Amino acid sequence: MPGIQITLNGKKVTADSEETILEVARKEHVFIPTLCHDERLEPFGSCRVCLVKVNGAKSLVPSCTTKVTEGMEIHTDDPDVIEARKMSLSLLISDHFGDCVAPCSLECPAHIDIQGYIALIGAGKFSEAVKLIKEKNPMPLTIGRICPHPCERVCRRNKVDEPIAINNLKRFAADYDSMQENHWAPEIAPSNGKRIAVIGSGPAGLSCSYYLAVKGYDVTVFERNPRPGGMLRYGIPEYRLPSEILDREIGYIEELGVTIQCGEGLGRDFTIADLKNSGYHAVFLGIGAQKSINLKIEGEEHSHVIGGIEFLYAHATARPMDIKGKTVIVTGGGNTAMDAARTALRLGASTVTVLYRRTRNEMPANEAEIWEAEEEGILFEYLAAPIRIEDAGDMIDVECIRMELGPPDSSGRRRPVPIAGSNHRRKAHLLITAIGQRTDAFDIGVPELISARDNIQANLDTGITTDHYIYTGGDCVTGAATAIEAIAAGRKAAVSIDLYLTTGVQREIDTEEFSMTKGPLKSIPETLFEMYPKEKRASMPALGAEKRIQGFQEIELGLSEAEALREASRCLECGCIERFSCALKDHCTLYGIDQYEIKGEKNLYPEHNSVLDDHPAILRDENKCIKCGICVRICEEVWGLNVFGYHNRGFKTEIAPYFHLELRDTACDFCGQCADSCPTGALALNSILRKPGPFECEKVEGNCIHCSLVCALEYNIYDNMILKTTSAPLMGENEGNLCVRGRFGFGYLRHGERCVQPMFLFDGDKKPVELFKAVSRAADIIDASKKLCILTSTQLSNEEYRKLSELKCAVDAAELYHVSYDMAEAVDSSYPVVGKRKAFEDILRFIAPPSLSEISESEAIVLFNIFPGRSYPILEMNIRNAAKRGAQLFIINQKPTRLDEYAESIFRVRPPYSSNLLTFASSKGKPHPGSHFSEAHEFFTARQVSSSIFSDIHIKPGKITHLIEQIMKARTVSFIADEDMCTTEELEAFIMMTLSLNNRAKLLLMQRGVNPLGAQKILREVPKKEVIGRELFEDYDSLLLYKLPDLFTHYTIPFIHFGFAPVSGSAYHGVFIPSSSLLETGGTVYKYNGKEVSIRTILNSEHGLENVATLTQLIGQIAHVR
Amino acid sequence: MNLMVCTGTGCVSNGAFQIIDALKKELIRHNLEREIQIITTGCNGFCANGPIVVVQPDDIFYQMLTVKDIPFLVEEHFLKGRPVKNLMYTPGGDQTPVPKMHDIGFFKKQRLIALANRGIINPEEIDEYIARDGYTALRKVLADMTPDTIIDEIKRSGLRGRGGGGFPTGIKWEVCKKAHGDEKYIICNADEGDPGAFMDRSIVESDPHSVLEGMIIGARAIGAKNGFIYIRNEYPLALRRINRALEQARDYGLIGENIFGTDFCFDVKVNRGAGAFVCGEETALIRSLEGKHPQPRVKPPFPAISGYDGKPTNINNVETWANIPRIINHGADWFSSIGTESSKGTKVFSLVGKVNNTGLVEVPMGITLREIIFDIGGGIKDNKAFKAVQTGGPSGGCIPEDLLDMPVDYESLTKAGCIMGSGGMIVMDEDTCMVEVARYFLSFTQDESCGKCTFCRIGTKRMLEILERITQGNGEEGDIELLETLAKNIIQGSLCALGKTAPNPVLTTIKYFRHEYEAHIREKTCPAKQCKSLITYKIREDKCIGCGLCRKNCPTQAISGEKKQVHAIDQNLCIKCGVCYDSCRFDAIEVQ
Repeated sequence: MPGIQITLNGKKVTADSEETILEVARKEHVFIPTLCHDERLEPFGSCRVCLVKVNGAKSLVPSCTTKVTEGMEIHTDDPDVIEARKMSLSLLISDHFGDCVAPCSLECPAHIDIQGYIALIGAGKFSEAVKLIKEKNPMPLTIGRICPHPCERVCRRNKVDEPIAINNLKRFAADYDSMQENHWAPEIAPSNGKRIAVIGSGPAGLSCSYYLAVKGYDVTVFERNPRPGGMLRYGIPEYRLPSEILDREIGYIEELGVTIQCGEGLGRDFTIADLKNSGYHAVFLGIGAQKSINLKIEGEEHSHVIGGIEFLYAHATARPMDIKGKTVIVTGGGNTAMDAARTALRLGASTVTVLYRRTRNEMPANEAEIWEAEEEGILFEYLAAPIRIEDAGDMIDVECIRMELGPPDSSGRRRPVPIAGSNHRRKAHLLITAIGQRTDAFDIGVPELISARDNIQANLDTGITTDHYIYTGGDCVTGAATAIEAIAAGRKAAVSIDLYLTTGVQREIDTEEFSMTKGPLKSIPETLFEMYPKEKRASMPALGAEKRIQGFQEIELGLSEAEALREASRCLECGCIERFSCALKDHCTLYGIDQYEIKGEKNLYPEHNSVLDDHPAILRDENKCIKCGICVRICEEVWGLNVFGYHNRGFKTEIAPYFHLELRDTACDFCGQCADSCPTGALALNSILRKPGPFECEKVEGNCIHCSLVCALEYNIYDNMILKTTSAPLMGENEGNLCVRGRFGFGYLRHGERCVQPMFLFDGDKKPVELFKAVSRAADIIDASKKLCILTSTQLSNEEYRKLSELKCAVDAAELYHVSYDMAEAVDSSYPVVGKRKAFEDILRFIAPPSLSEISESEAIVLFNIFPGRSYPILEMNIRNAAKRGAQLFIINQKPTRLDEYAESIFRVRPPYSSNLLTFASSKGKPHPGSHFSEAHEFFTARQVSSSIFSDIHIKPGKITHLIEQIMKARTVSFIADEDMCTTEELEAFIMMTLSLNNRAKLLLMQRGVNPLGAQKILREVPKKEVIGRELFEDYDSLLLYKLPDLFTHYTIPFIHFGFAPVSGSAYHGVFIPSSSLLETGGTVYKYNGKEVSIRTILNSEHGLENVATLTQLIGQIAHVR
Repeated sequence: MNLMVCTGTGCVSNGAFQIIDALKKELIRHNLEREIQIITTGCNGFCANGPIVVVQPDDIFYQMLTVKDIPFLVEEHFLKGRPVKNLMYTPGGDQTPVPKMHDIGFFKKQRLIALANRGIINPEEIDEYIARDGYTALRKVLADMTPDTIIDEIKRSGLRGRGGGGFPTGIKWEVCKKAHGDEKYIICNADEGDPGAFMDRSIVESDPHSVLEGMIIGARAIGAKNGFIYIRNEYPLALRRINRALEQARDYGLIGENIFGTDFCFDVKVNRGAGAFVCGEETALIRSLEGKHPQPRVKPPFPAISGYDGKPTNINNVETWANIPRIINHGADWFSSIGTESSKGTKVFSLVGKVNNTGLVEVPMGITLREIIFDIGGGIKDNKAFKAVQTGGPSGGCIPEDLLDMPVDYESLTKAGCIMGSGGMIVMDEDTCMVEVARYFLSFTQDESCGKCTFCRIGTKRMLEILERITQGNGEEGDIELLETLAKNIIQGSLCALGKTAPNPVLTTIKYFRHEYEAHIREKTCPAKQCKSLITYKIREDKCIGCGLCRKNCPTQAISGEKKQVHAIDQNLCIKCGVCYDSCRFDAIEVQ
């Protein structure tokens, strides 16, 4: 009933009265959020986020279940609607327990995807890890050495034993990658012709340069000092960050096209106006905070008093002070103080004492730094500070005062309070002051940008200043801070610069992405971590104290690969695996939900305190379940199983497998529909990687290549890996449904799982050879053979068959066998490619195969010798849907199928009774006279089968009569058989039954492999007498039962095997040539219904593998040339 | 002379069957067994005063009988003809007993339609029902009426659904009759779940055939061949009586194949519910009948279009069905002459709480709350002040004193923020904390939420947590507003009526008793002195005589004091159980 008029947000819209508000809105591109809705399922209406206002309705209505009516006025953006949606989301979040993003990543100033790179390291993909790190931090070699790693402080592993050695892992990956011949480098966008001046080559400037260069900018860095690196070079001693490492990392940035001009200081050698005049489109100021803060005490200007930064700078510029055998005092408690003290020690000072006005607990320096300094023999004196300096000839007198800790100050640390009368003096040759740094920006010519605290003023999130020509970030904005903060600031400014220069729009602060957290570390009960066994943190190999104080050699030596892999495996994977595809999270971001707005008890399952590991392919986290019931319903309504159910009621409602079984112990079919359609991370598809990531995948629409249904699906690609396959509801003929093979059957394409090595196979041995040799051997086999066996995977395109067909012409007798990739070790389920139907080609032309939708709309369905649940689950789903809609289902099968419960009647028959049964049925048919059916019918009725045969197999004649009557009566009938399971006789009888019983019947003969019809249409049939093994077995049918190993045992037939893994067996003689997958080369195939479709290329063939067509051509050429 | 002994659940649990035994024994002893007949009847409604025996035809009402009273009663009244005054009802504060049942205030103002046979017939004997015009309506329907004229009659009567929603019954039937479908179903919803309400149970117990007859008439009108009675398993007596009624009706050919020899066939199955409140919601009830997880589903489609097994289904509650035969017998005009403009007929209420007369009352629509509480209910117990009355069960609202003269009908109650519901009516006196009341009712609905939709599952839980906080003295500024926002959205956004009405007690108590909430939150006091966390028990020095009773009774030894000296309570040990308060004979314990 089309054509009713409604009003949607004030706009007149024509709709169909059968449509729901949600469907109409989606068609009109009006966004309505939903969580419990899935197009494949009956509307449910439980999540209540799709509420809309309908004029005249007593309350808000759920748009997913409400059908439109004539004149309906709908508002999807009314304030009441927004309020209700927010409330619904806030309520759901108030009962949600999980970390969207791992705390480490949230804590990291640069928000590096730490969980992601640890997962990649865990998977042995070290360069890929570097790639992920460099999305946020272009200097992992450097930061991996010097970062104070706040991430590790919040690591949830602290609750188990010790935090993950995150920074050491980062360093490991970076070190590994930089050792490779081709270290990872980003792709550079084509030059956009815009020039950017970056002032200062510290971490902020380098980071900004990197991200701008990647975007195609022409970046010039101006560095006041003789060498680039800023504080990384002049503030950090070499024993922590060797200059060779720094040089290498800066070199990587220069490789991107960034020019670094050293010895050019802003305000000294040029001005901002000069930059403008020379055509720079924007300037980034990353000048740092490079002046030590004064102690503001008497005598400070004495020549034996020096700032920590200045001291380190002097050393780094090879102008070290001569302090051999001298007494040095360092005041301050930060990393600069440690660096200065330890440098002084290495320069030969006899004693180095650190004075700190608070206690060790309050010291801001890294614990490791303090500990190492102590180990090296540096003395620490706490609760003491200098108050006056007097000249004492060669030395100075430092007058100090003792402190005690008072109440906490604004930093949360207890404030030191001087103890009156505790003054005392100590002598020293040098006092190094390292109590903080400040920006020195007075001479760069931007006085209007300088704040009262001498810093440059800018927006911390965007790096934008009041002058839209000038961007800034790093220490010069924040005061002395960490390098990773400067790197984050540089990247943010680069994004702002890019946005402004490409669009003219000044960047606003990003809408904050909603990220649920389980809460601060200390608020999470220990019990949630009891399940994890304690494992020691990887310790960093380091030089011993005696050795290290002798020079500036790098102390930390880096983790070994084995240690890194083990350390990565300790990661608890706190961040949600559905982080990048969670509808709840997206909606919460959209509506600005605050996790703490509505608080209350959470319905937690402490016994399931983490992701449940009760299924190999599906991860469950009940604490993230929003009770939308999609899993319960999709399993029941779409897949016909009832794996999930509701337990308890009300607030305590729980969705779990029936009887609370472990998921693996249920009837689960591994279709993964529940996990794919789950709107949150409560159910997720397990990653193919050991650690799940998660990773932000590119979704590429493509087709499944496991059977001839070629279902539509989305490949989730990350870094040329299929991490998972998902589907959008209703996509393709399969309507978004996938079976276990479509969902999980791509692991064999993974690096390491698949054999990419050509081999000779003989007498059970495998000998790796070069591809050329393998191809030559194949050519030899062809030249020498009268008989030949070709083994391939079940995934061949028409193009490949065409080439194989040529190859088959080259020998007298060649047979093609499919070997499933997973059957490589046990080839007993191999099938001759060209099926038995070749004999019936002429008849088959007259019967169209049904489409899947025609099957589900059939009035009657006859299944013969097919186990659709096992072989073609999506087909099974359509048959079941038909039966549920009222189709009469007849099953003629040797063994029970899962569809039996839906069947009108079931016939358990084996050959030859089966073909007798079918022939008998055929003979009762009354085909339309004069049609091609009748001719065939006559042929068959000639073979009279007596009904007495049924007493042999205990079938009541009435049952078969009923079958015949019902089929003849039905307006639409689908006959479906598995060709690979039928004997020729059975096949013939089944085809005839189709022909004679119902003129409107359609016939579907399924066969293994993605493209059996391609083989059928393209490969020439081998004359039957020449079929290998013919003389061994009585007929072609027996060949079906024929085990491939037997074939090789009885005949020393050589074979050529194209595939993903070589067959193995003692009697084999042949050659294995690894080939690419259809997903790597693409190609056309014929679907089950005879339609030709293109299979899209999804992956790059990274191993240089060629497809079978190319390989065959190559073999053919060599063979032919001889 | 007939002795009508009430055998409703209330009286039975108070020993009605023992009274019958004793009566029999005494009557035999005095050779009166032939002259005086004992008749067991269904519930009288005056349950708190059971066991009850009414002596007919004199209408003498005896109450609170014990086995001990029986020899004296038989001898005095039946032998000597002197009715026994001290076994009669005496109104609160009055000294004179009221001998006749229909002179008692509780019965005087009632108007019985649905309960017309209560206390009069033996519910286990179909003949007694038939003797009181039972099944004449069915005969009339089958002989003289078409489905359309039946529906027309019901429509004209103005009968509205008594289960809570108040949807016009005739229209509901009409929709179901017109719905496409070869099979249709009738359901009687006897899943009465409101705490403290027992209207439906009582009807089934006292007059099961009226419900059956109503259903058969409904089936005839709609064209249904099968029906279900969905009844809670916690109602064993009702279950027994409905099953017995079904058996007898089937024996008489009143149910089953070819009813009254016509071609009309209809049968009923009894389905026992496991006692989930949400199963009172029709779509959840239907799912439960289908053997599925009882979650309500979104309407439309209404059950009248797609109900049990996807077939058109008409579902009404017990009281609605019981009204049907009377309407057919007496006519729509008679029925619609009772009640108000929009609410016709009578309504049965379960009057409980702090009133003198508690029990089941059937009153004409439009009667005021004051009449129900003060005339029928006999006023507030112990001469305390009235504070509020809750109508509509846990999903209803609390009505304050200044609205007591409001007529009881669907519209007025809704206007006051309440609902008619299925007829729960709980009277509260001055000692009731309204925040605690709201918390109590919400804790019920929250616990009974099915858990399907977000607002009801989590929203009511959050409201409950806030109320718990407030009653524990941990309320915060903004809590009232947050409760109101949550309530508004839960009402707007919940899937079924359970969620949509659950906030009513909270909203009405905030509306009419906001100051009590504010006192809890701001001053951390409970004005009614009920919330344990907010009160302290103290001993008044001027009144304590040091008897030591409170000290003895205190379960935590929080009270100390020498004999004949003023005692004191150690507040650190006191658990505020109130035992001292109750045990003190000198009013020396005060609550602050």
